[in-house]
Amino acid sequence: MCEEKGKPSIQYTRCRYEERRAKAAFKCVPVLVFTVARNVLKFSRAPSRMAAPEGSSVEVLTVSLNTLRSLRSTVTQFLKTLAEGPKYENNQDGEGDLLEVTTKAMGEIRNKLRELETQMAGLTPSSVPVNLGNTGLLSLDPSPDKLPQYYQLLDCYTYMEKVHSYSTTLHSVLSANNLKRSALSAKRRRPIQLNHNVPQQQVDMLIQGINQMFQDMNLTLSRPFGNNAVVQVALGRVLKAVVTFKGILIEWVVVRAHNESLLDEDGKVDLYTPSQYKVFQKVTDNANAAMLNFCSPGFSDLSVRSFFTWLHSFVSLFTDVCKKCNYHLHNHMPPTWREFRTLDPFHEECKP
Amino acid sequence: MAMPVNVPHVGENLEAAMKSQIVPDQEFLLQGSVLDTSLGVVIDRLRGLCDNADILPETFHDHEVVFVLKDFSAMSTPGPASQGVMLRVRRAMDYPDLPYQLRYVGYPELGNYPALLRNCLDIPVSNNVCEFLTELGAKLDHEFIAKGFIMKKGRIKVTVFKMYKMGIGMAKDNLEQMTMSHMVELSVLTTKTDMSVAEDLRALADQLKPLVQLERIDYRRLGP
Amino acid sequence: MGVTVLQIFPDSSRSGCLETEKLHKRIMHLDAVQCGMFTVDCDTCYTVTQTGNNRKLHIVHNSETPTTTYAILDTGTKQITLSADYLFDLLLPRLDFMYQSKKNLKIESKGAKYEIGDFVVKIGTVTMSGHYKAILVEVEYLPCHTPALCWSLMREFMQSFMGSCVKPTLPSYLQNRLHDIHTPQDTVQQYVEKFNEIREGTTFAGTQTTGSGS
Repeated sequence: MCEEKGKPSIQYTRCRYEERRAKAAFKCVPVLVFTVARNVLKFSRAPSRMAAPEGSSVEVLTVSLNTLRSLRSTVTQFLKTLAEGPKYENNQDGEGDLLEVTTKAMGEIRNKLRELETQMAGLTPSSVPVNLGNTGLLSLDPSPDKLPQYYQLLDCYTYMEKVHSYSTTLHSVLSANNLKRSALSAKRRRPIQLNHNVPQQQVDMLIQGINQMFQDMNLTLSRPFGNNAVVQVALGRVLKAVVTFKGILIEWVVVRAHNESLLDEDGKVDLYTPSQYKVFQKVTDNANAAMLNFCSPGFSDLSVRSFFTWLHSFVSLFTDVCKKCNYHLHNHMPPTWREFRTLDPFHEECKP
Repeated sequence: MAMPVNVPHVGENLEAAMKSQIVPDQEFLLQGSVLDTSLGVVIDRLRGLCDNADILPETFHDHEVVFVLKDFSAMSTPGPASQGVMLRVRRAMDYPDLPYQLRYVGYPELGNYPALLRNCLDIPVSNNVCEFLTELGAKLDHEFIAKGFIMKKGRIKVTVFKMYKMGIGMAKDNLEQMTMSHMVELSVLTTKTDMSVAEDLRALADQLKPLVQLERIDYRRLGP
Repeated sequence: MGVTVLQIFPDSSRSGCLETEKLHKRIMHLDAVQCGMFTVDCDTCYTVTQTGNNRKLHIVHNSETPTTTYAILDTGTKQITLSADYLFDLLLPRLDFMYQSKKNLKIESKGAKYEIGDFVVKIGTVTMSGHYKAILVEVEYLPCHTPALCWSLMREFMQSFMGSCVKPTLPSYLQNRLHDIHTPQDTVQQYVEKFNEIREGTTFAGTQTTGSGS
């Protein structure tokens, strides 16, 4: 009698123990699945550019996504079994059956997980990742459903990147001389360079090079916002300027007087406040116009260099006379316009 | 064309201010000294008495040059011309961007005031003041370096500092101290019409009593 | 603070207000905006001692820098300009055993201020102890800070409303400071220079008073 009672109790204890072990193991399963899922998702959301040239990696990605899906369904199935009990109600030894079913399911999960991990290893991360700076930390948001900012951001970046690459391609196609046979093929061979997402070193080198080009123009580079550079220009005793970069493209230019500070009260670079002097407000406008004029997607470093050459010509802002009217002043302004090619000074109203 | 030319004149403003006696050119002063060994106790006591007890007292590191302006070529006749005027130039060595301070200190007023009362002018000036004074005819009298703490309680300025000698070629961090004690000064700038603050000064001095004996010291009684 | 140039405008009629009105009209044709008034005054103290060299101490106030007193010491060989808080004025009476001012030499330039683009023009009537003396025009070009860079530009501007009285060469004061950064002290020193010229009577000395001012 005693034994009769004791036997199921031992079995019961063992079963409880197994269950507890299993529970402990299960607890970490959702976390694990979530992590893996996110990693896979990251790869899948990464700009299509990185996957496009390598067809094989797309296949690997599809396969691993499928594996992930089946892993998820196995886990769901397993949790369901745990919650509702095994399906075979008619079986007398219900608890033993539960143990059997769960062990089997766990084994399956383990296999799926291993499979996924091996496939993951086969995936190559994007060679030139979009450097999001601090915004990249948004991906750590545990509830992206509430605020899908990170994914919108990625979509936005992908879109921008596409715009840039299309415009680059278009530029090379349009600038090519269609009458020449070699033109098209020659242009194609050049690797498409994306201007807004370049390594920092490249920008550093470029700015350093320009800095050495002119004795009286001093460039200081800083990165107050992570990846993108801000260049502070001091041109003789004539003017100062802040040039904001996006990758290797000039985004924004502000020109100020020699005695106006480039920093705001907190000691940070002031990117927006216009000069209080009308002359430099005009020069700012013209500099932005010049920046757009010189911009060419195919030759971005050349365009930056020519922009700074143009800006350097303002060293004689107050001393030059207008090429057309031979006077210093027109509407109480010195010649604020410089011809793009010849760098000849003109008044706003005397522009050719 | 009629142009109303009535820009308020700087001098006129100042004259008006002088007339209504709102120029803070009077200084109440109490002085004392404390041995270096007891400095910590005094500082702790003062921190408790003064404003902003929760933060450490601000330090200062000043260089003071004292000039005497008088007619050096004239015969020594009694009168202000032979006695001359002392002009003190102070600059903050730890904040080189701050303007220099030119300070005129008059003789103590006679009368029964709770603290030493004297005429005092603090004028921020540009940094060529030493050259200016020399060319004006003044001669360098002495100079020293004062390092210490500054606190405030209401309008009262509390300074605890040590004086160091200035020598030629003396390094900044290797100063020769003059005494083995620190000066403790309580001072407040006020106007001729507002003398109420002197009592507050006395009250604060009394609270320091067992530690520091703060008194009105008349330098004229101290012999040369 | 831009570069400032001072120019004495010749007043052949010796009436003062007629000529300033003429300048006012001319400058309004250049789309100037009148933006208030200004005064620059100068008191001069002399050494009272008989022995030693004679030094002059000019005490100047400029309404553009209302809380600053400029003390310019002229030793004969060199000039030292001290910028001080205007409490410096209170110090002067304490120095009267060495420096005393002569009240009848108090000289000032008062008038209207105009803005034209980045230029600021001040047309001042100079009076010495109430007597009209001359017309002094101050032109400042705000964006530039080195006289060497913008002199010819400023000359062109000044000639546009003052005509031929503007000499093609730089004023001697600026000539010596061509490549320095211009400071408010430089402006005040130029005023002192011109005031001295007017006092000594090297330029025209008027006799009429400017009591009415219209």
